Amino acid sequence: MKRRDFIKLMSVLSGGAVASSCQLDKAQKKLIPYLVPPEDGIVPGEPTWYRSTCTECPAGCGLAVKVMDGRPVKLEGNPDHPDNRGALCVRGQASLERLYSPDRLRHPVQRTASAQATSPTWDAAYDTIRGALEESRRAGTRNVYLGRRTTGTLGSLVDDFCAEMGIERLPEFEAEHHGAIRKANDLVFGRNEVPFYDVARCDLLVSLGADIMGTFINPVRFGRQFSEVQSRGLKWFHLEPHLTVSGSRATDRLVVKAASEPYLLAHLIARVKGPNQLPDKLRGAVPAVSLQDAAQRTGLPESAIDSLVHALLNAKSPLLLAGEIATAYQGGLDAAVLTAILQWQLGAVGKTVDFSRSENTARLGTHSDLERLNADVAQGKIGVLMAAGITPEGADLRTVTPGGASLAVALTEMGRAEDEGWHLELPTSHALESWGDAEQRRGVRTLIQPVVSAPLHDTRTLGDILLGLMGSKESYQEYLVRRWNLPASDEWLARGVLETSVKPVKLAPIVGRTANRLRRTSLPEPAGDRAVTAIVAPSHRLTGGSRALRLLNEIPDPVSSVTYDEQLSVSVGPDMVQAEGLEDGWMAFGDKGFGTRKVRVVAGLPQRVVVAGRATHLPVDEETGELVRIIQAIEMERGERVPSQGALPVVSGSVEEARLRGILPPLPGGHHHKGQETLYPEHEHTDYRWGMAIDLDKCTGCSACVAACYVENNIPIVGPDEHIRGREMSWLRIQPYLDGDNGLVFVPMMCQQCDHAPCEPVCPVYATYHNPEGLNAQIYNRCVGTRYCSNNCPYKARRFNWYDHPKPEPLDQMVNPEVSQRPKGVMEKCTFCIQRIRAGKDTAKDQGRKVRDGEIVTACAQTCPTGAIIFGNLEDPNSEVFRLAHSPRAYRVLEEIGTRPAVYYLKKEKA
Amino acid sequence: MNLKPYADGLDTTVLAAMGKPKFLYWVALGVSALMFAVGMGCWGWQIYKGLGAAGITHPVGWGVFITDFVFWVGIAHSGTLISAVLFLFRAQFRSSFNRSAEAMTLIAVMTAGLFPLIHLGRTWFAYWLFPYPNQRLLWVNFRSPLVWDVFAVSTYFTVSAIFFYVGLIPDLAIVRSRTTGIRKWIYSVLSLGWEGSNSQWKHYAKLYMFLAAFATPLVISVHSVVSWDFAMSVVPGWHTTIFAPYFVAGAIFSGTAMVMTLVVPMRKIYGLEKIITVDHFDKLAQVMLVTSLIVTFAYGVEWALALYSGHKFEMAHFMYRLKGDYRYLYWLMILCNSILPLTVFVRRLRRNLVFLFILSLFVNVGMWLERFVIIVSSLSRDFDPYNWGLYTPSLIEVGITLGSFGLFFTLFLIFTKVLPVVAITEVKEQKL
Repeated sequence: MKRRDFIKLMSVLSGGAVASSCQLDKAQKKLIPYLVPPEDGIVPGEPTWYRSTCTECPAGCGLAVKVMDGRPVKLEGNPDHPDNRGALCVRGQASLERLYSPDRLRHPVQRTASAQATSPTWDAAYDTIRGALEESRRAGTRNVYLGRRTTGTLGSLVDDFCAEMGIERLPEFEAEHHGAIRKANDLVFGRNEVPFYDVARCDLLVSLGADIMGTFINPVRFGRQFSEVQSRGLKWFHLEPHLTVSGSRATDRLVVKAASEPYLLAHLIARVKGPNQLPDKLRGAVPAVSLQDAAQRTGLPESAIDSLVHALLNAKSPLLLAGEIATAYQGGLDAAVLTAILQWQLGAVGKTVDFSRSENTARLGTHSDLERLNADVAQGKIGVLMAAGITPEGADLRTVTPGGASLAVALTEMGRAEDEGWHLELPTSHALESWGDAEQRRGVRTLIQPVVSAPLHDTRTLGDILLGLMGSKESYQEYLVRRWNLPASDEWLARGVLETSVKPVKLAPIVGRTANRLRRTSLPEPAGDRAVTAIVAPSHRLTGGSRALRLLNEIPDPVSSVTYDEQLSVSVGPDMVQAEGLEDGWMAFGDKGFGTRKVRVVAGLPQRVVVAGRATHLPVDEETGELVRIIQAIEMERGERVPSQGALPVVSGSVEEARLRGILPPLPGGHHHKGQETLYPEHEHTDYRWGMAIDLDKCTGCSACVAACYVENNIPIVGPDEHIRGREMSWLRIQPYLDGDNGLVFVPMMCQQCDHAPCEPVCPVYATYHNPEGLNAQIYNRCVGTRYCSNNCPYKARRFNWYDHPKPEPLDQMVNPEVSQRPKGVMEKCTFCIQRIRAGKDTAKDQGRKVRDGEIVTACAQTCPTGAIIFGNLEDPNSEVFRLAHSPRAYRVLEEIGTRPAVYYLKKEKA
Repeated sequence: MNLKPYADGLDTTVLAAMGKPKFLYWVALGVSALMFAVGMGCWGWQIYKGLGAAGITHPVGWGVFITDFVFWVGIAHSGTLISAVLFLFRAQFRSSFNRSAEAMTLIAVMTAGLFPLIHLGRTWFAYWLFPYPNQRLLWVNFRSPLVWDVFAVSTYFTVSAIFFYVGLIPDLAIVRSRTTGIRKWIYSVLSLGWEGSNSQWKHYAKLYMFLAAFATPLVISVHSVVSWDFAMSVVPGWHTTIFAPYFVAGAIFSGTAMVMTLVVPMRKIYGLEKIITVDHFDKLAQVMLVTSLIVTFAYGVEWALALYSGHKFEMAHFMYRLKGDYRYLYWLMILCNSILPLTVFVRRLRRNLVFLFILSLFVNVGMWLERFVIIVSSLSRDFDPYNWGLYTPSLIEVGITLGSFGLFFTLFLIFTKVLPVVAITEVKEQKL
């Protein structure tokens, strides 16, 4: 071939290659998220950030999604969102996994009783639905649409859709719907709503049953608000019949008997007379409960009730709230109604209990509505049943049973089990692949925008499916833009959140019907002292149900430190171990939805209380539509003990032991040897010595940091079998220590980046060494895997790769490209997010300056709702971390060994 | 040195052992080789799957593999002790054992040397543990006791091998004179032209004395260094100054027991009763008894140090050893290492070879358990209760341990067939 020919040929070939690669398919063009392209253009390896909304739970926190090379790699909170201000909870952090989940439905699926499942085209699926609707209309059966809590533009699209297609829109379903609170507020104030509880404005917090730091409404917001007022000396009473992270964080944890709250509330109403005077008629209707009676029914000492009353009388701006298991029993409405009355009496309504910023729950139903639907379906009254996002979840995995419908359509992200009985499953896009908006509570509107260049699978957004069924030519994105009609939409896209002003609401109790309701009531009978009460407690780890995330299973429950098995396990207190001869392992339980369960002994649980994450079938309280979560007088029989494989993970023991061992600081008078003497020269750090301060007074044990660490650092998930052997890979963990009646003290533990690190001298190949900025750097490439460093680490903060951890496709795409993935046989540990330090230093260098305080934030510190973790430069005397490290509260764990950690803990004030 | 012509059939007796193998030998060799093959198979599986195939976990990062390593290094000890130290002390009873003891040493070091490789997460990079100039600018960390181990064990192996070989030369010459064909050629090469001339004996004696003196400190150093793997750490139960002498005594103790385990059946099978007499075993048993007492004393000192230190972690740890999850192993160890050997005080028992053989098995078990208890129980409970955890060996680890015994016995059986199992010239020398 001649030279000229060769060049001709090559130019044709390369030109053709370029030309052909320019072509984009339609979907891709639509979804390209760069509506507002990054100012500097898109640089490979440089992250771009997009604002969106977390859809993992109905709280709807704002998201900032880190996108690298066209893939979302990390979720962080939207710093502009008024609720979460940059933080996310453990569920939010873990929820990125849902986008990449291998369990997602990847194309439409049609099932018939006779034939195998087929995968129809979207058009064919639409035709099937339209045909079935036609047929059903002829047959005269109802066609219904059931969705999860839907707000924003999608809510009105569903209305349009239902109106046009002649479909009945049913009350929405959420496993946690707060039916009792809404019903009570409806009764007392005429507002069927969950108000905005403003912890930030209160000086006294009294919470009954509601685990506000764990599961209730929006734990991130509560955590952040708590942190704001905590330093001002917030007094917080938490009343609960079991043990939660909220109780552990409260200044005063009061253990009450299950379902005894109405007595206490009635008593408090009688004792706390102001500032708002109850109308006489209403006051007369509140059951009279004397102090002795209240003490006897609740099991609280009279002095505790007195001090609670005293605190309420003295508080300027108290916030009292009840929810979750304080209202989830037959007669739970009483507790909620009395709470509403007391809130008004305390003058909290309109201030700390704010109905102007209520949750948008106008269309939300309850378990009763679901039961009605299921009955109708079973009786053949339903023709086409469309259910969007409804999966088995909640305390007893209750869901729609589509059996009797003529066509049951599941609009779903996750693939569904065949035996659930859906005829047609249409895959919906994940929120990170969709356009949308949400207004989960009044006054805050958030944006949902796609952050992948193309959907991972053959999915469509819910809006597009509805529009498609309506025969509209418009895409949902176009529909949205038309509906938004927003001024300054650039700012809307850039901030991702829009706050609108809300009109203040002035409310007063509706006396007549409230009084009538109270007169009719007879307060529930709390269980006797000997009876065993079972509590099916909500847990942030279990809310996902069949949509559960692998990462949430992997992270231990902060209270029981159980991982995968919690869905089945039953926690009992130490007294039951004595009385019933129980031990860790499998144990048969009596009836009422328990069966044989794995028993987990949890120190710190109150006497005669059994806590389960799940039950098989719980009754529904007719009045409130809530699940009855408290089962009095459960029959327990000691069944055959099936040996469990290996030991369950241990709870870390008592606070006393932790003090003795130097993990918690000694009480005044006790003295730890500081371990400062050394024969060796000190390390010299010229510009930076990275350090961390962790405020134990602020840590709620919520474990959001743990999830953030997993996602940021590509930490593999090992699964239940390996986890129970202690081979989990978490670089950061929450260690609970039992503090008597006060609940638990949580100590977040990670590599302490010691100055005199025991891991460093023992490594034969210099795989771990002290870097000039004080980090114990770990060089994966150099590690040969002797594990000596781990043996010699007093904090046991190092993790060894016992295996390679292949991830099922497409989960293998969920990788932070800034952090290497470690092969088998290599040791790893917390690096203080060295990739973030690197990026921060590079930026500073480009601008010819030193790193500013607060410029570099580790993943754990970034997501902490309460701001308990502060990262920074210990060499800079003006830095926050320097200030905290020199606080009189500061101490270091196991200081007497002389390791000189760079992590300073601030001890609890109370201790 | 005055030499007498070969007499009283000693050569014949010893060299008869090198004759054509009998059926029993083949069975023994087959079983040993099979065990070794199983062990290698397990190791292969472990390399393929990852170290998770073993039972070691977090926080117990070292388990059976390191136990085996210390055990085999310990076994390797008495070879040099019996040869070199007893030679220097003119303890003549050594000459009937020293050949087998030295062979045992070499084989045990080889076996032991496998375990640091086996326990590595990335075995294929084991050569990074050696300091040699390379383009990747990798260098070893001389502060790490694991690097000291590399040197201690390789030095010990080298010196022991030279000592063994030098001691063999006169005997190889005897074998050379009794064989024909290719074997004669091999032994000729190996015996380095040994003629038994006066000048040769003169040099030989000097060299042998020198090597014995050179090897003696190694008896102390190797196992001291091995013990520092533990003593240099901060782990309660490991971090103690008693470890070096304690481990050396333990090593000699286990080594003498292993010599008995090997020599009692060997003597019987090869008909060496006249050469290796009950008197010799009596002496060996006394060595074992003394080291047993030292080890028992060390157990006491360990306790006393923990209690006297007032160090809460140490004290908590020793209570855990006594009463914790591994208490049965601890008490079994005390039984095997401290109580049963006391029977050797009784003269009749220590001259009963069947009894000694059984006792030596117990001591082997006890000394293996000692290392296991020290390594595993210390790691399973250190400072922070949240990190506590238990360890159960997996089948892979059992298989590899069996494999190490397979390798050991395979090599020893081969040794008995290719080399004289008793130092013929030395025994002759004493018979003069």
